[in-house]
Amino acid sequence: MRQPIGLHTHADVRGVEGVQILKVLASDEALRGEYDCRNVLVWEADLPGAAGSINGRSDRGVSIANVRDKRVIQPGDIVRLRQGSSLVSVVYRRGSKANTLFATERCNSRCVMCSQPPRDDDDSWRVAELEQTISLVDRNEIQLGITGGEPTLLGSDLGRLVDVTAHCLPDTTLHVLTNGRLFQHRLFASDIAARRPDHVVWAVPLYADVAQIHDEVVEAPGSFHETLDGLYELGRLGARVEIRVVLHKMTVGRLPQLASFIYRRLPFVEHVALMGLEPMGFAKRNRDRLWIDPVDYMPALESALFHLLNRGMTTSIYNLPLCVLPSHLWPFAEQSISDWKNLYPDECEGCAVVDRCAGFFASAGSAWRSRAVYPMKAEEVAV
Amino acid sequence: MTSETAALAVDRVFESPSSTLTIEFQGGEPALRFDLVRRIVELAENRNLTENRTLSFAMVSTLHHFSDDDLAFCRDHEIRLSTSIDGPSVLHDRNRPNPDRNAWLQTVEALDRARAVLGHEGVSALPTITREGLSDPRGLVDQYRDLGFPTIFLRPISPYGFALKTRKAIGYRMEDFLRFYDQALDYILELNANGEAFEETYAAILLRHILTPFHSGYLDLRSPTGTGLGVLVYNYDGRVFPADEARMAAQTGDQRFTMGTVADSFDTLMASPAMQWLMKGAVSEHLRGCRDCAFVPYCGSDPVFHATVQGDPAADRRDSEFCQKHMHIFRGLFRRVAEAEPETMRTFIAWAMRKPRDEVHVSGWVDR
Repeated sequence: MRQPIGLHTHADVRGVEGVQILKVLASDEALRGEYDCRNVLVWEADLPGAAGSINGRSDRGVSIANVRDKRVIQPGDIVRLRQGSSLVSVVYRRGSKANTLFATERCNSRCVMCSQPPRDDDDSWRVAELEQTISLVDRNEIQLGITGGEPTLLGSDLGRLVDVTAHCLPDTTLHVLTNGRLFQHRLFASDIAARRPDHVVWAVPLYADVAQIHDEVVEAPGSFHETLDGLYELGRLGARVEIRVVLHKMTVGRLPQLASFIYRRLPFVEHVALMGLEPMGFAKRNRDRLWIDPVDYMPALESALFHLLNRGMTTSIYNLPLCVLPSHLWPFAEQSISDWKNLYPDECEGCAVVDRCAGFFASAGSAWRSRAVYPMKAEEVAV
Repeated sequence: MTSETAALAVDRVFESPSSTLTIEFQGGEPALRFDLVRRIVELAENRNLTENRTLSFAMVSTLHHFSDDDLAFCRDHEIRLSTSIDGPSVLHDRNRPNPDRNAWLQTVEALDRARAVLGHEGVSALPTITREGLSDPRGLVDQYRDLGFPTIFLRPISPYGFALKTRKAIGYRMEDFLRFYDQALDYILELNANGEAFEETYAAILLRHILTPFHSGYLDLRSPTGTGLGVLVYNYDGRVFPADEARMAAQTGDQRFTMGTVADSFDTLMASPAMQWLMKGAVSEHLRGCRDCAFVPYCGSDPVFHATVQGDPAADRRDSEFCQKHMHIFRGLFRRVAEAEPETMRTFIAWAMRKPRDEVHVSGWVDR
């Protein structure tokens, strides 16, 4: 089994006051002075258990030693340390394609398959930490995600995060997962989305071409129309928009109709992602309402995909392993699962295409596995 | 056309608020005044250095009279050429008698010459379909294939501009044209199903309206109309018309179609009595016979046609040949979409999306 490398480990942590967000750098890179030295943890991977300290001095200021899982922390990463805690959390991993800033746990929807169930506590303290994180991200980072919860609930603070990113990372694109509902308010939409329209992609879920199904999925009456109004505000502002469709029993029934709806009503979207389900959070307790073997929705997926591709809409398949897809759909399948939760189980042993396969969510137990999963032989996939 | 008139026309062109401008030369035979064509193109290009519009040029020509220099100028200034080829030589020569009775041969030779300079895509052709032409739809389509055209645009002769006598000799009832059209379209779809990409442009225009949320841009199928709002015609004598058909109608003495002269400002022309009259029939969604029609989202209003034929730009469309034609073609296209035969759908999507048919995935699902 190929296990992902997690984002958390424990270590002997000393000298932390409150919460500190620090950039881990090898000494030669630290010496280049690209980042404020007060926020740089100089890394010495050769020491037993690896270790790091600010200003190269473990007797004063912050230091960590005896890292339990050395693989978790690498130079270039950004870690979060908390006073009195041994937990070391990686909030940014150099080289990962899936670096994401967690904006808030609050949300105004309650999607039946939410992998990150929301909480209503005030967590506005996150914004300052995110600003600090953004200032330490690699300058050549191509894309940085923002997720939640619902990031637009940050209000004007979301605009500040966009501005800080523009300042620290002028070449980086932000990819924001949002239900788009609050963009129905024109002033808010133009305040937030008119900033750097070329460098922010708003990734908005849409689950059906009819309000009834969409609203049932997100468990928020009226949200279909609010999301559409929001999408039109984004379109009006020339913002970059992606549509995300999570595939499960409630959404696959009208998937081709949804594809048609997206092309006719939202032809300005630049990308459509048709996404396998992540069996986490609410999805686990709603399995009966959600589970359908992907091979059973393959005709609907193929129809929707080709309908959009024929009409010039860039469309991708996310989160589905190649063995459940007919090979003529492979060119559109992405390795989309974030590395830290991406698993290739024992069944994948010896598979000829494992290296270009999306694999599985680490949370996907046998109850969520397609009957079509099997290791493919080289002669099956030869072109 | 005098140089002064031409210069004023260029002024009017740039008074249009549109970001995209096309200047098309028609005649008569514009190649016979290529000196003026050059002057207008250079004037417009100079003007556009500061205006920064998307500017393009087109010319309708027999192609017979171009010198090598003229063709090089067309190439260098990207003037798209369009000519008339009515079908096999016998038919073409009868439609277009010239002193040597060799119009077809001359056109085909000129076509080769023009293509050699402008490239294959730089020259297109349109057939004028007379009564005689109706008898052989395959012959016409094959003529276009033989000459290497990837498309053909099938439309009936217009009722304007001909003396009654000529109309009697070459004209026909709309149902005769539509029978011809159906046969030609069947044949073209068969060619496509067998792997040869060949487009019937009128169907492609309608399919773009039907299968996509976008308009084709085609002037004669707009609502609000393209008449005056999308095109202005500057006549050689300085008069300005809202459409070529309006110019022809005015030639028979009906001055209601004249907007004014090139010396009038764009705003004055647009506010002219001619425009106010024609605009009564500009919006299909508002017109009797159109406003309750299922096909109105894909159709257009063509007020000049209805003004000339029925005497009223806002005439009830149900009695018009325009309506008869479009009802019939829409029904045929929608019938085929309902049948959803995979190769026909591949052809339709390729036409509507303007992409090669081998890049179309057949998904087996058709949105209805």
